[in-house]
Amino acid sequence: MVAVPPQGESRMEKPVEYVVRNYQKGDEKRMAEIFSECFGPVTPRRVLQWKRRSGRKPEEIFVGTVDGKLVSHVEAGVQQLHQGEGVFLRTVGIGGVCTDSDCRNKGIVTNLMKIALDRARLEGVSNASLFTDLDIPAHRIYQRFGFVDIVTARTYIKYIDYPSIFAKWLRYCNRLVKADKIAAKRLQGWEKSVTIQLLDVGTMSFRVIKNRFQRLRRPSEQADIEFSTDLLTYTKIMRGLVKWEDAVKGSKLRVKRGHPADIEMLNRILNWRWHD
Amino acid sequence: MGVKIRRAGKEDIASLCQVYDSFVRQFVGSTARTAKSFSRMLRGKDSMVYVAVDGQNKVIGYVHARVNKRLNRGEFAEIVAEPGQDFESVATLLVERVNVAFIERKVSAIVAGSFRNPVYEKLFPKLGFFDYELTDVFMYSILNVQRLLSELSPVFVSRLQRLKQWNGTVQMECEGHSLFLEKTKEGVEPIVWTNRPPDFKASLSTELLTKLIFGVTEAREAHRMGQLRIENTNGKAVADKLLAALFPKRQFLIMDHW
Repeated sequence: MVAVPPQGESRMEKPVEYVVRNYQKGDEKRMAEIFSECFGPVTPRRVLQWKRRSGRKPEEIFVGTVDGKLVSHVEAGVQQLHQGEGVFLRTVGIGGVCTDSDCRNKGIVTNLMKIALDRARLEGVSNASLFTDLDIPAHRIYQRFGFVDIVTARTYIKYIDYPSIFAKWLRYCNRLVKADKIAAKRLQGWEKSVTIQLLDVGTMSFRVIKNRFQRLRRPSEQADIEFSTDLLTYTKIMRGLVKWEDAVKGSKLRVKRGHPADIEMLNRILNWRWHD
Repeated sequence: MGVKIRRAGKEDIASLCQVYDSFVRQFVGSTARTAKSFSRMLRGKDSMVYVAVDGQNKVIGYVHARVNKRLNRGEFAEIVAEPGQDFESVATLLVERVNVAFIERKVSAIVAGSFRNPVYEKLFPKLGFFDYELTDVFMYSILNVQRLLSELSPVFVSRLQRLKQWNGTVQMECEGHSLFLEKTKEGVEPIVWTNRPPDFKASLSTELLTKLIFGVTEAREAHRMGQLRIENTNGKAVADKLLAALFPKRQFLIMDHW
């Protein structure tokens, strides 16, 4: 079926011809590529495992294709939610909403959402639910579809060996940058070293060279960026819960060295947010 | 109390289902679980399920946790206890047992996320965890108001049944769609329509209805703020009582991401 883009799209770029169809065997490879770009590294095998475990049927998975190439994905499976007094109601659980970075702002995923929700209505489901992030553009799209914020999550964390987490994070960044075209483009040519002094943890250092993150065993004496903070503030900055500049203003973070443009890039790395 | 903690096995699946069902009935928003989902939980290579059993060897709670190998961290997925039990003390025993297992597996961090279990706020900070609010959010949308109101009618029927010393007709009106309930001495019944003026009518938007059914907004507060319009023949005290009965403050709790 050839989809008609919905009315009222804002920030839309040049329209593109696309086709919406249901999942077909063999789509996992492209799905893994798009998921990796949007949610973090994942293999086609893992996608298949998820699909099998969730019991999703092909007709519950909608994909958008441009010139036969899968570029967008939405799944809408039925769940049962407790609404009180022991009554469970059917809800359409929306998930895996993502688009290849080359095909964003063209209304493809919005139309996929519309088709998925229309199908749910036709099947007699009265409501839909999803998990997302308040800080991403998709949140506004969901609001336009009538989704209401119910509650945000809270997390509890205890660090046992932070230097090992730091090393894992750098390895993860290397996997992320391979999958994320926008990040790779932005990082191109940015070759800097960073030294972080974390209170009660110690000093940790890394550098970026040819789009590769490398842990430095010995902190560089003349790092391009050097700052000190406490573990909680650092964690909150990485999760986008505290802004770098607010932490500096509140004396929670002290920058010893660093050009503003490099600090801006470091913030993008810490948050892994590459859109303006 | 004589509570013991042990690893869960296949033979516990029926008890796990039963404990989960009675636990989630105290909340709104939780997803339904089957024996199949518990069986999958027990089969998971990196998953750990421990049960708390009382003196009679009856399962009174359980914890599901896992080791995330990629991040080398231990993650608490869910902690559940029978409503009649002291959640905090059962959960503390379960969490302590899993913490030992995590340390044996040499994890670098331990994480417990919640959307959102009120007891976590008391439990984890005491065990040395620090906490923060995330930007992850659960969103809900009404696709068909009339159908949702009809589906919700058993919920409202149960709630009205518990309300003593009041009989009459209730109309809940949401953006042109209505649910009528008639309460008599004999019981509460949904009715399709009536031209008799209702004794109590609540008019609200879909957004407010969503927030009220998930217990994240208080009905009387919404009324005071003018978001909820009430037409009522029985006086303010009765209206408040009806609002409190229809939309009790229920804690939202969801544990599954799909």
